[in-house]
Amino acid sequence: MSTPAENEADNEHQKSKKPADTAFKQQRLPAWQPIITANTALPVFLAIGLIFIPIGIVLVVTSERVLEFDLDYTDTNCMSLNVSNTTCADVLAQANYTGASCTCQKSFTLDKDFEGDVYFYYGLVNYYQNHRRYVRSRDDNQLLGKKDAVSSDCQPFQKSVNGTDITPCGAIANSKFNDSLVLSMNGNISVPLLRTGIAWSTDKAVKFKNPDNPQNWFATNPRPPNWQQDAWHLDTNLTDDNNGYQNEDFIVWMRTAAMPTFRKLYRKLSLTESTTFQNGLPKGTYVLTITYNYPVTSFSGRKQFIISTTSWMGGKNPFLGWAYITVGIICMITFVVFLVLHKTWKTDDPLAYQMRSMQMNQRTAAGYN
Amino acid sequence: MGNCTAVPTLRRTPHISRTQSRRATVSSITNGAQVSVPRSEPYIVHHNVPSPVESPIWVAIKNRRRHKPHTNRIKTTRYNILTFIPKNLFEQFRRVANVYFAILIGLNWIPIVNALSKQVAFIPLTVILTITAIKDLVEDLKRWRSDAQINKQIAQVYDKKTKTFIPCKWQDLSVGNVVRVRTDETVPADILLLSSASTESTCYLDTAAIDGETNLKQKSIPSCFLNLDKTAEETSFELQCDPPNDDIYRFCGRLLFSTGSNACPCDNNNFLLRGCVLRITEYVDGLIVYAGNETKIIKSSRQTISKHALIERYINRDVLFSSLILTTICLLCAGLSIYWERSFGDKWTFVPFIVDDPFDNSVRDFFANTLRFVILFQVMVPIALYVSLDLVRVLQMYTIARDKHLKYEHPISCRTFTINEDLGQIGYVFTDKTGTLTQNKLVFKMMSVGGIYYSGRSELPEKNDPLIQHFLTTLAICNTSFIVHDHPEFMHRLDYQPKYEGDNADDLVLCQTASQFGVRMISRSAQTITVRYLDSSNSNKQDLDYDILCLLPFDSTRKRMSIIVRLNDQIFLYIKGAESSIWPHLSPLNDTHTKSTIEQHSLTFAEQGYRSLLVAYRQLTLREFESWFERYRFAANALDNREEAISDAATEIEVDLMLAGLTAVEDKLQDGVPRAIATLRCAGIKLWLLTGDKQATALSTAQAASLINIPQTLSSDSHSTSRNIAPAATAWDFDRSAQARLNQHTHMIYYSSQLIEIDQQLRNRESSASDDVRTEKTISRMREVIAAQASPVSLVVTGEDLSVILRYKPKEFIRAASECQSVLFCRVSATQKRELVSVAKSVFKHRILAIGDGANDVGMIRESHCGVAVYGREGSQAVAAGDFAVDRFECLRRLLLVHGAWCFTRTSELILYTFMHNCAYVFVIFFHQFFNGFSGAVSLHSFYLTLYSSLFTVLPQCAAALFDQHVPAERALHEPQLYQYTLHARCYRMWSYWINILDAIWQSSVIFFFAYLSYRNEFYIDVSAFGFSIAFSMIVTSLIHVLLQTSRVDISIISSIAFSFLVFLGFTLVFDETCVVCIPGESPYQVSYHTLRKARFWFTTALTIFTAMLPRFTIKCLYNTIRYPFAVNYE
Repeated sequence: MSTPAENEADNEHQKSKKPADTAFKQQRLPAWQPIITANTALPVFLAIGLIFIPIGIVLVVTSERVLEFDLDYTDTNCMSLNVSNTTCADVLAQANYTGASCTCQKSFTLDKDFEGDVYFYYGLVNYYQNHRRYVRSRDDNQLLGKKDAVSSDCQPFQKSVNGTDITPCGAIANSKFNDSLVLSMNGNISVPLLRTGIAWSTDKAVKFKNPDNPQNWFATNPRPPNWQQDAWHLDTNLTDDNNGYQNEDFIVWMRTAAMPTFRKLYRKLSLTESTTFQNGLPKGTYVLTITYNYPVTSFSGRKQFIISTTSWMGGKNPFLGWAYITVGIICMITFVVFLVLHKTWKTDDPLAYQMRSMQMNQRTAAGYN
Repeated sequence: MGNCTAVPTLRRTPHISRTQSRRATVSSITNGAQVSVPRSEPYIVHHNVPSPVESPIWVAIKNRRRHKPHTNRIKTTRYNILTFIPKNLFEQFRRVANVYFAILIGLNWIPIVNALSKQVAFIPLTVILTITAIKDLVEDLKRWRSDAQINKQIAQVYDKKTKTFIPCKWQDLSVGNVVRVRTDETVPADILLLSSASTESTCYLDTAAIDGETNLKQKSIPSCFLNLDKTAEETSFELQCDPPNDDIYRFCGRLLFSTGSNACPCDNNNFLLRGCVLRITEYVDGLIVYAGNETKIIKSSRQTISKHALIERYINRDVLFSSLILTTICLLCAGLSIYWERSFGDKWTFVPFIVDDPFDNSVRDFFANTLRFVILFQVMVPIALYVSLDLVRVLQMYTIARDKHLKYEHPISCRTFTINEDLGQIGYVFTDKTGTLTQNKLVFKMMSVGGIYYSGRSELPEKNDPLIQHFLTTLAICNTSFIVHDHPEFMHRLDYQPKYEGDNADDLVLCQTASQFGVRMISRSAQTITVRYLDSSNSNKQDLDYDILCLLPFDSTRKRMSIIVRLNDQIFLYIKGAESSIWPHLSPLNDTHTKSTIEQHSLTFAEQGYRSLLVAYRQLTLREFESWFERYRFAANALDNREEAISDAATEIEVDLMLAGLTAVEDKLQDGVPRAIATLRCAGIKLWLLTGDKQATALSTAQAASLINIPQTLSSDSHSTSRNIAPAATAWDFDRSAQARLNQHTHMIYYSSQLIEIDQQLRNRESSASDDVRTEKTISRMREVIAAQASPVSLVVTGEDLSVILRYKPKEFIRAASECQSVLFCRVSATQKRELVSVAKSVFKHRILAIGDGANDVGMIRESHCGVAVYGREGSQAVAAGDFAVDRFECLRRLLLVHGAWCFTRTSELILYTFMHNCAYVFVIFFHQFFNGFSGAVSLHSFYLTLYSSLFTVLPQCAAALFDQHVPAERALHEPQLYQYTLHARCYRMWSYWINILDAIWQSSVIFFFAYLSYRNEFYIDVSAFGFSIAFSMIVTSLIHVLLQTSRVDISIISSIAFSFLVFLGFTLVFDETCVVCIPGESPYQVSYHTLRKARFWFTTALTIFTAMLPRFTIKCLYNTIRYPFAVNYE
């Protein structure tokens, strides 16, 4: 039944408006449809190779220029001065790790001048400062100087035996690294070291604040069981604003390490105090006097004393440079393989299809349905 | 199937019988409703009669709990103010994903398990729940508003006391009320017509709101109200009918008058549905039968179909793999954790970082550790994928619905949002013929009366031939059409031509044809039909009044309709219907020569693709009629299985028929059908044509539609000059291989001829064989024949054979037939269509799409994996049942090849990406455990952990899932064979998952170990800085990875990546500046500022990202070079 009326209706329908004809809604956004083949990827691999290898070389050279000296003083490098033929580690172990102290001296020689900024680190190996239970065992509110009851996260170092909150609470604070390392040149010129400026300035300014009347507060509240003195006496020089929660050694320690092998900044060389050290640490013989308080043998940990210069890439670590070089070389090899592949493997050229579909696109845009 | 006069019912479906078995009785008195519900009694509405047995109070008390009064108030809202929060939460927690999240959050609160920050862990679930709740709330508010608007409409209700109609809100109407509906007003409830202002006791309805049909429907008053002495409002009667149900095409009732003894039947023809609009007629009065939420239209709108895409099976499989990996690494870590802590022996008290006693309770510790790792690694099983999948699918659907190429008259409508990907995996298309492949726009072509062709009026003989008169009278009156008089004042004029309306296209075109041939129906009521006979010169007219004695409507089992009329003293039965349904009932008195000529003609018509109907008549004696009518009346009053009873009764009278002739009506193919079918065939999709037409018609349509390609010989071409020859495939812009495929000739296999051969073989051997054996043998033979053929094979099966096959060997048959390139089923019924799909579903590996337009396709559409309805001229039942509704068959081409393939590749990319991206995250944390004593510590802070896979990386995935195109639309259509890429799921195989997992492990190793090795000696890289730099590499790698995975790069992807990166960076910078102690124990204050200043960070991150991408990039290059999926031809 095709009556004229219906034909008219049909025409009207064809004229009636269709769905909004925007590129977005009709899925016709302009696009680049790359078909990556050995052919099209060749320049990519070449470019990566050409960029990465030089970067790698620069990084390796940079790393090699950094001078670093490591001294592992866990056991035999630190023989007790008081008890003959005994390592300080053994002294502590014999005292059953209950607060015994031991002093030792170790001399060493630097073959090169450590020029510029010189950093002194203590390094710990096999020390799981990132353990889940350990890393949570702190109360940031307490460290902000608030005197509220501390969080139960600090367990089992939340409260002392008599029920008052430990300041600072938690396992991290309790296990603060407390060896003291003093360096002297040739055994008589003490190397001037900076105890401040080693923590992040923002940490010291914002995250760590002493409570009001700190001296009294720390004296009246119990200190962590492993500490020899309260937090207000972490630095013997009381004028430096380097005590209580704002002690920089403490702040550095509280910024927990990511991996079980880590180093933490201990001191910086003061370039201004003495003319001998105004260009850095000159080569020569040095003596390190260690007050060995921190036991690590119970978990087969190692302790290191590290002296290092620095570069724009940080410390000495050739890994990144070699990784760049390796990746670059792999890309170059791939480039060659693909070049061969491209020359030998004849396939339908996908680009031809692409051209054809582009032509069809244009035709569609011109009204072809 | 267009030649149905009435819509076939679905009475054999279990769904209807279930509602019927749930009986209910409602008795009510006008203006004072009371309800009673004894079981196993029919639904009863009383009008002006008191409820017979039980007193109203007793009934009310007895049933108060079970049923509220049936007022006409509708409530489609799901919540109210009080129930919103609990009910909505309850509904949301029925999703597995939400429960999974909630359990993990709960576990995280147990102190010894605690893995993430307790507060932060809430964020993702809270956001998901809130967004969903807001969406639900907005939808419910909309429903509430529209409900209120509908409920407050005013209707006119009959007040018994004043005996007038008074206004009343819709919501206050109740069952048993009598309402008056005026012209252009909407019917407020399901009502039974009592009286009409029109003289013919009929009324016209616009049912567009219900089924979308624009033609008017005629309804009439039940015959028993016609000759009443008082108004219907005052009569007392009882109506027994079906309990409320959702079948909008069926109503069956019986009126019992308190005065009279006779029961009077009423059916769908007397029944007005809520939502119809009254036209032309001034007003009608009706009795409310079903009200409010029990009305048919509301009941039927509540059906939901739940279908799942095939891709979900792949997801579930991979989720299982992921769960296994998750379980393994959780148990491994938990075990190693115990081992590691105990390795310090009894010296643990001196180990500063061992806080708890490792020897305390190792079973509890192991259990707690396992749970903690499950929380930590939870994203390994990407339950959130189901959430993002839902979102992406809705958006994909939106873009499909917006496609201007799919719009002709209606835009494509999508009802099911869960099966987009299936469109890319359709292996079989089951299609209806009439209205789907063809336009269903019928054009009268020819008739054959008494063995002679006539195609125009001028060809008729001068002399009045009674046979021709009978023939044309049948065409004019044997139908359910009705007449709309535009100018009734001209009715006496000679050339008056009324307008015919009706719901059957065949009837209308034949009625119109009869009118052109000079036999014109000029008026029609429920009792009489006036037919005007014009002589050949159009100068004289003769009006004859036929009294309608009985009208036996079309049904799908009889496949014919008939009308019994009285002209003066003669009683005639006029019948028309499918050839096969009438032929066996012809009287032996018929001239055999004429019979064979007509048989020949019928064949010719069929070859040309015409639809032919056989017309016959029978003269009845009064006695014959009366004795039969008794039986018929009994059947017509039956409440159970009325249609079957009527059908049986009709069969009794439709015998001894005199052959009059044959009509030929052409149904043209829709535009673009041959091209669409050719495209689908080239795409590797097999088409099964299921039609109610006969074999020859089906074959000729199939040939015209390029479904089969049979070499044409001149001898078979003798009759016709206008034969449809499949247009050359070259015209359609296919590439070479597709064209070659189309040019192959089809080898036809006829199931029936195979069956005959088998029968002969069997007869040689033994005396008789059961159907079972015959079918089995035929199928195995068929399989051999198909296997032996090199060229494409097409199988032809008829409905009769099919019913035997479906009874005995359905699966074997389908398996054998699945090898054929196409299968034609002729003379199949709606039930067979559905059964066929249902069996095929259990056999085929690929998805099945069913497309159809008529009510007889509904079963098939519902049953299939993906039902597509064509907006047709046969009502909108199919549209209501379909998952998609399109205007033309042609849409399938773009829907499957472009959108289907796109959706599939996009979604599989999304899925694989999600698996891989989450796995990379899990493995970074997993590697970390080797360096923190398997304690479950993570250097990334909780916000990165919870937002990594959502806020920071979700946008580019979604952009890719919406805009990526593995091939441009034009190429997909130009090279249909590319469809096989998605059809065989080449982009999502089992190994795709494992490759992505391997890639994830590579990426996570690079990210973790490069950072580990590079920052080893850097004192300033503490746990937070390390976490930040790892998070940075992870997120940038994930974002850039999207570019490697997609096949094209457009502005949406670039901008979403840039945006996501900025969100991450902005979030971090703001958070690190402001948050000193936000999350206990994880203060990231200033960390990013410090880290971003370091040269080492940038060099490490750059190398990490490049190296992480390198393998996939290289392998993609190699793969594309050696085996580019879109450059080779799949043959």
